Amino acid sequence: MKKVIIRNQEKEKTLYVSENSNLLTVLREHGYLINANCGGNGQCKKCAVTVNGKSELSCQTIVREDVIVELKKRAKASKSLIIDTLTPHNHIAIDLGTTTLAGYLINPDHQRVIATYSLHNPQMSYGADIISRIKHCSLGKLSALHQLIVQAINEIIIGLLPKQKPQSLIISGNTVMLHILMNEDPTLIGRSPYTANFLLSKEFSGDLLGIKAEKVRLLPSISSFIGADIVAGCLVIDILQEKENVLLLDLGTNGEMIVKAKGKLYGTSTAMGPAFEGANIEMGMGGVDGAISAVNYEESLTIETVSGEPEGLCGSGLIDIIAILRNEHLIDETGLLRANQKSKLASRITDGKFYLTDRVYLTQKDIREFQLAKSAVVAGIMVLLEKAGITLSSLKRVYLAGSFGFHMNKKSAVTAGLLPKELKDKIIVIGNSSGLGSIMVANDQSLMETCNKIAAAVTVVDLNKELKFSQYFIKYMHFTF
Amino acid sequence: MNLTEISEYLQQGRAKEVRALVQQALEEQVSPQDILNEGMLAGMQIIGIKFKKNEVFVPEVLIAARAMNAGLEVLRPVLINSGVKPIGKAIICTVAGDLHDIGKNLVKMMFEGQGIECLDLGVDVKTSTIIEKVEEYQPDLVCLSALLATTMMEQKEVIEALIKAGLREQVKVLVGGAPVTQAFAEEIGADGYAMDAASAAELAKEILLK
Repeated sequence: MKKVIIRNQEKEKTLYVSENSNLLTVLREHGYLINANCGGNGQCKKCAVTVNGKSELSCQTIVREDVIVELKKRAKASKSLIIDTLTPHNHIAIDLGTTTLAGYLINPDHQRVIATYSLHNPQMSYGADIISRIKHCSLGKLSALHQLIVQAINEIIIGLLPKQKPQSLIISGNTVMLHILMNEDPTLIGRSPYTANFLLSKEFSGDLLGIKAEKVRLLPSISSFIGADIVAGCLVIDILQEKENVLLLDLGTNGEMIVKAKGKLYGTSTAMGPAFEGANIEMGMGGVDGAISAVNYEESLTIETVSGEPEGLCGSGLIDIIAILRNEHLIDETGLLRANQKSKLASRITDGKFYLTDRVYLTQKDIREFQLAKSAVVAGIMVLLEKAGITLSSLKRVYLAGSFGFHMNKKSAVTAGLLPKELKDKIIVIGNSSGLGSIMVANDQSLMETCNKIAAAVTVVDLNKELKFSQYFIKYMHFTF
Repeated sequence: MNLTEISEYLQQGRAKEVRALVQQALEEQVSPQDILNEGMLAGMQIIGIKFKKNEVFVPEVLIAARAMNAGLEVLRPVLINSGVKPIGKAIICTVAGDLHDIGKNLVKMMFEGQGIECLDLGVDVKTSTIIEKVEEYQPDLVCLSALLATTMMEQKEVIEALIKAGLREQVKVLVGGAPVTQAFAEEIGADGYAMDAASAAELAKEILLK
């Protein structure tokens, strides 16, 4: 046995593990939440910890001797309390995001959100994206992932209502997250033809899963990759009553989108990968402490972080900097980073990297990753609209959902080519509509029926089956003004 | 006739000019082997190097490949007649359960740019089909692509099926795709791994010329 001393902020814990254990597995199994975006195969470099004084990737570290491991500072759960009287009727709505769980305490008597509680999805150590999580399930980790999510949900419940059980818990999230919550193996979702075990809404007693609520209700999903989260979004924008052509875009990992065209609903998803959560970007990170979330350039380059000193780039910051570099012609139409001497910013390019600060930079490869992600989104939109039989210009409104959409600068998004320029003046940011929709249902449980109607009404467009998608995917990789 | 001109037009994706210059070179009695190597393959290999360094991207590779194919249409019959052979044969496909093809297509283009003949089985290819085609086509290389962490395990299935069918010794198996790593390739008993299409083609050429 080898001794592993783990230092996490001020706390220290000693473990004894078998020789040749994998350090990431050890940390994970003892409840330490290490970011392992790529799922632990050495590619993303985000799982670094300090081992005996040296920075090492925990997923590549085998414990062969006694070690002292120091973990990086982690964002804590955040909660806010709007002081109000608690009546006996309390419901909780939870958005089970792939990256973040957001909980809301609802009091329907007052039709209000009384408090919120969010925390990082503890499954992050099994990979940032849905496919990595599915893979771990297929390798026997379903139970572990299931326990983690149930514990996290209970943590939210106790955090919001320490002394009572909520009458109901309304949950929305993507299809894979709901499968894992129900302890249902999502393996078949991970390979063609990508079938889900269940899609319909569910209602059951909390005791069934050890969840501290009387009744638990899950919103319905539309398909394996178009989830309850976007159904919730459709509820928020009252899509069934909508008379115009509108587009709802949820730019999370799955790139889900629903269009209402001439009275009919169509949906698709273009898995653009976790590019906007920073996973494939060298200095990319989620929207947490240290993340550059906005960049501006007028006389000089100014940088805004979520909080604290700049340590990396999150999605909204990435889009801003790419837009700036495009405007300055430091990135050409093909996506090549060039030291265009006409721009004052050219001096920040050294060794093929553009430095935003002395430590935070953007590489050519990062730009390529962005090109792939934005091309997937635009190609998805174009194919969806074609199948729905409408043009971009006939869209009256475009709703942007997802926390990434919330912080994103619309103008940058258009300049960077993430959104077609025809949509620029039609964009309405609606924030975490998955959460908002589940709050609506918590306030008025009959809305679950409306959710069911929405889910049943959507015609699913499978981009894998559309030749046009591949063609557009290539076409939209370049930057155009 | 300056064969570098063909290479430059190819890199720029100018299919019409490539076709015209290849035709002209043949009329000037330039050896088809030279046209192939110095005009076409040289151009594609430069694109490959630039792609590896992210200096050009997917669209540029695709249009260069299109220009190369335009030239090959003219050149191929002449090459066959003069007994010029490819340096090797490869079967390439995306494994069962996986529908992604762009990466695989890029690899095929780069392979052809190295003078390797390719049989592309497409996407979502059943392991049993791969075995059948290996028996039929007798390739030197079997190249497997997987883009999802969930389908990469099929690569292991294919290798085991090759062993069971008694074909493992006859081929070299190369694997690739976003979630695939050198470590995984070694773990499943593959003969090689490459991180991008250009490196894959260089590795393949190295293996074939050994």
